[in-house]
Amino acid sequence: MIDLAALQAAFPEVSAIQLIHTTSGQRYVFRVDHAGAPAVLKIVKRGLVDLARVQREIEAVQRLNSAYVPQIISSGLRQVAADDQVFILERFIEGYSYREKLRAMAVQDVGDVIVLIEALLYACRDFETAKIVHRDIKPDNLIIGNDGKVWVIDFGIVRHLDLQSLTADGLYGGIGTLGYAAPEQFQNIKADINVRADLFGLGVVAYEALAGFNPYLRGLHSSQAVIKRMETETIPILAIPGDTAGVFGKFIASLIQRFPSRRPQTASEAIHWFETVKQQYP
Amino acid sequence: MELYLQFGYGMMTHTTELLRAWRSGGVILSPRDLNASQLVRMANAITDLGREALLDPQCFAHDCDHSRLIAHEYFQRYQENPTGSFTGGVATAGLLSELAVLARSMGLTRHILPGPLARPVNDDWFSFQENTISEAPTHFGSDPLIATIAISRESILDEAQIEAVVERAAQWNVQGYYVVAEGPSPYLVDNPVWVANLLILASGLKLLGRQVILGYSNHQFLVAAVANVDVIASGTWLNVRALPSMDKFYAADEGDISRRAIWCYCPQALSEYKLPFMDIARRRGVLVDMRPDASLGSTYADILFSGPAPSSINWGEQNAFRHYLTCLQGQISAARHSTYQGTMDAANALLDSAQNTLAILRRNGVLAGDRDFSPIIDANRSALLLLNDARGERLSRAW
Repeated sequence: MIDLAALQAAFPEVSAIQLIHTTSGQRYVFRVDHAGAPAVLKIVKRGLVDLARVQREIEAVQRLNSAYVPQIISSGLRQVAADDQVFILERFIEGYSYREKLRAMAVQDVGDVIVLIEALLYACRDFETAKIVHRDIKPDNLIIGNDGKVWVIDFGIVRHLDLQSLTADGLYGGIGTLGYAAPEQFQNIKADINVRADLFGLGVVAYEALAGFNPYLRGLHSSQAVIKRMETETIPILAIPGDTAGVFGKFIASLIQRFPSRRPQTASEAIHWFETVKQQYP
Repeated sequence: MELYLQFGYGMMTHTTELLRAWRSGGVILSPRDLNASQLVRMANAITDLGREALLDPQCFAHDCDHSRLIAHEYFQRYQENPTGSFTGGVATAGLLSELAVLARSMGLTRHILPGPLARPVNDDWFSFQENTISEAPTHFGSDPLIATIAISRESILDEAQIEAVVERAAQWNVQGYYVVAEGPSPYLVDNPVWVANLLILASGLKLLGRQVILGYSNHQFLVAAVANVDVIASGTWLNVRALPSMDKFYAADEGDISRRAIWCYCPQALSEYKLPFMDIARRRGVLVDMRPDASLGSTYADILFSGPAPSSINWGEQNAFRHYLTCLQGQISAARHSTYQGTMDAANALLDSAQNTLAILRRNGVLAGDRDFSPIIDANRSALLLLNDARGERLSRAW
């Protein structure tokens, strides 16, 4: 556990430090005040892989400069108590996670989901342009600002398509969140991983928001069972209110196709496709 | 969609005759059936007609021993490498260099690259493909290249393997793909999964924005229009209309053209009939239901519908082949429509119509034996459904 007093001493530019999340005692996320505005301070205990990952996360966000990703205020190494710690200080988004929104109301309004999908598609296009893959699109990593704007957070397992991978090829059980990560991610077929993996995660989130459940996790209690479902079953096409031509359901079905070659191949292709879906919902 | 002739035994005269009569089409020449000077002569004849000649290197099986095929210089270079693994360097260069010499002598301007049968699709197979594609410009210059994607029946039945091909093929610097699928049965295929996966493979390749040629094909693959395939290749004898195994590339299969029954293609039934059964159709008053639509362009079988009993007419295999291929050419020309859905609807309508015609003929004792399309109709229908599930939306948008 990080000592708050030591943290405050190491970061005199911030105040009102509150722990909001920790992962395995290695990664801490604090809410802080910075220059009169709320911010997020992430601290990662130094470890070889983690350090490299955090550097990738920082580089990804800096490279992105996306309207859908909170900007980094500062980052680097800072001594906290006796240890060097990696930190990222970024803008705090006043709002709530999409997971909280789903907990409050499992089945979301179709119009709201359309807004969410559209924002995520444009975010994916930004990722694609920057040659990165987020690899962890899920409700917990989406923030809905108090103004309704959609934000994508947590680039902790980002993949840079133009940099050497941090993990070996072919290790089954690759990186990502079960139930949201595309099959090629957990099968660790790196050559196939690109924006189509993020479109898959987007599709699962959209499905969950419209159906009220994650189609890959529902009723299953083991990771093996979830993987088997993802590798062998075809998820039924959703019947969506107002989708008289069935195009919305088919669009989401295409995003969560098991094989990446059966999904839209680029974010732009998905955006154009989604334009025709939206025409049903003036 | 367009028909190319898949060259086989005894097709020299048919080829020039048919190409002269058709307004489109080309030929995929077979080194198994032609020596180097015959290849040059045929290529020149085809080019003189303003049509395209392609050469299928037929490197499907490294250990094949068919005398005419292994007599070609390029094939000798292929077999000089004892392991059959081509990882670039001298072996790959030697094979392509000799193939390019032959291609130049034939005056070819597009080139099908050699590719072994994938059994299964694995790293070795990808390595052969990618080394060949990377080496090819050294020998073929800037001429367009076509990669051979030859897949075993077991691999076709595995979705993961065919999707792996689509993923990797996206990276290949080629203008098109020549797909050769080993079938699970001697001619028509009643396994809907095999048919569906072949269509899914072909459509996935087409969605990469390149030309797709489906080799060793027949009228069952009129449905390939729904996968937006550009060319299907077919020929006279069954061993160029389907590839149930690689046996034809081995010496033991030399006596391949032994059974010489005469079959007449009834395009509206998608089935072929022996002449005595057409006699029955005449006596039962349903021969008119077997007459091909004039719009398909074949007059080769007109005499069978002219009055006398068909089996009493001296109507031989030359007419049978030309009739089949001309009707197929007409059906292929009409198979693709201006939209994906229109093409899908037309493919299903053709199957419905064939089913009705077959029912009428069967009720009257007019049977097609093992060339009856009835068991294939359901396989094709199911395959179209699976194709639609897999790629329908993307095909529709890219049409």
